[in-house]
Amino acid sequence: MKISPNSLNLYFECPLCFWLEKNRGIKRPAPFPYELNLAVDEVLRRDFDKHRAKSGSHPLLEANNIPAKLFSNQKLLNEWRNNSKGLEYYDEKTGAILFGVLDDVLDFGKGKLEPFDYKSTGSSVSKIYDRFQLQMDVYTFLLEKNGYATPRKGIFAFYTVDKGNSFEDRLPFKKEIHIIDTDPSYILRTFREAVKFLKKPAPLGHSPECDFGKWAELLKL
Amino acid sequence: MDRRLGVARPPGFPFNLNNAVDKLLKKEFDIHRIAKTRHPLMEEYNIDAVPFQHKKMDEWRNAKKGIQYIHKPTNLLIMGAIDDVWVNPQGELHIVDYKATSKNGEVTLDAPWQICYKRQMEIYQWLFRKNDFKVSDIGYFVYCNGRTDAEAFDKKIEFDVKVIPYEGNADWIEQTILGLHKCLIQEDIPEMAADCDYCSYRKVAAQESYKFSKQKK
Repeated sequence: MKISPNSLNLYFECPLCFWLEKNRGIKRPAPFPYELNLAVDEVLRRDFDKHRAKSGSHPLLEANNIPAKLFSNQKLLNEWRNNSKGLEYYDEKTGAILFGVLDDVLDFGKGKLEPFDYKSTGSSVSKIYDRFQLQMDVYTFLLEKNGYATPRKGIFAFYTVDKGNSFEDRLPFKKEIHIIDTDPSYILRTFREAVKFLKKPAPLGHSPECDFGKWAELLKL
Repeated sequence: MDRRLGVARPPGFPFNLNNAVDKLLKKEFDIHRIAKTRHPLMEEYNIDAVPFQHKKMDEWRNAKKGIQYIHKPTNLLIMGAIDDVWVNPQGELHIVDYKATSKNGEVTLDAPWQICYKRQMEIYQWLFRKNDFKVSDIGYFVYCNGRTDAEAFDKKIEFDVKVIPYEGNADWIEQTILGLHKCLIQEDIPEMAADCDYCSYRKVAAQESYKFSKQKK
């Protein structure tokens, strides 16, 4: 069994939906794919890889005075970026795997690594949602369990659409760096709790906050 | 259930990059609307038209208002919010919809799921005709395909922009409105469609938790 930050987020949001997905393979209805965000991610990965191969530094990091290089092991990074693999931690106690698919990693020297995530949005302001915090906490946990030191921070490169600009066959972006503190201390406990929960029978209903539960509830009228 | 009970399907995350493309395209076409000139895309595709000037343009584009028509036999208010309207020298309107995606290869309207784009265009054409405008059967999709092969990212995603003409046919609309009205006024909740993802999910979720609640008793 493999658990990702998204799965943990679903566990917080609605245990029944989480249970159905992980235990029965029944997922919430999928939205249309977010093709433009995927395109931005792909182009960004290639751009950062180009700089990784050249000097290891990147103009965006330099402009924000971040004293780090891009993680130089491209082969390992490709594994961490792979949706079907990712960066993993196998928990002997539960026999389950916690994993994360990273965008990129920064190297602060002396073996210190920091997770680095690209976010693109069409809204005017960048926002750190709770799920972004959880994502970085998990990545920090995974890096540490894989034997790396971390500065207990996560870094985001936000690309927000520059709507003051014109179109001219391209979508213009503004770039912003956000750094957050990360806390991996609760991750193992939460992960084990979620795995344990899956071994129990299904909960009797959705959580009160679950959109799917509210929807189903209203239809019982 | 959406219309009668106000119970909408749970929403996903918004497609705000697509919305941003729409917004910037609108701005770009508006420059030509004011100047009454052809946009370079219209020249490239030999479309003899300019963006249409009308005092209700903003209202038609507003998702909360749009262009509206009350269908007398059913008393249903039909509405749709458009992206753009162009006008040709004969005074006929071309309905225009902007689409943004990112995929390998050329964008087309040929995939089975894109029937929803065609219906969307046909409803808009019907609405404008019902509002007494002279409307051409030809509508246009301004289809933006984000390129992932661009050399460097820096500050932008580049698009290949294509204008795809589509000849609409509104024959199905009248029947469909009568049908959906019949569906809406019936007292019982209709059966779910076998391939509805949302209803299937709700059903399975209820079954799974019910199984265990029975075991407990």
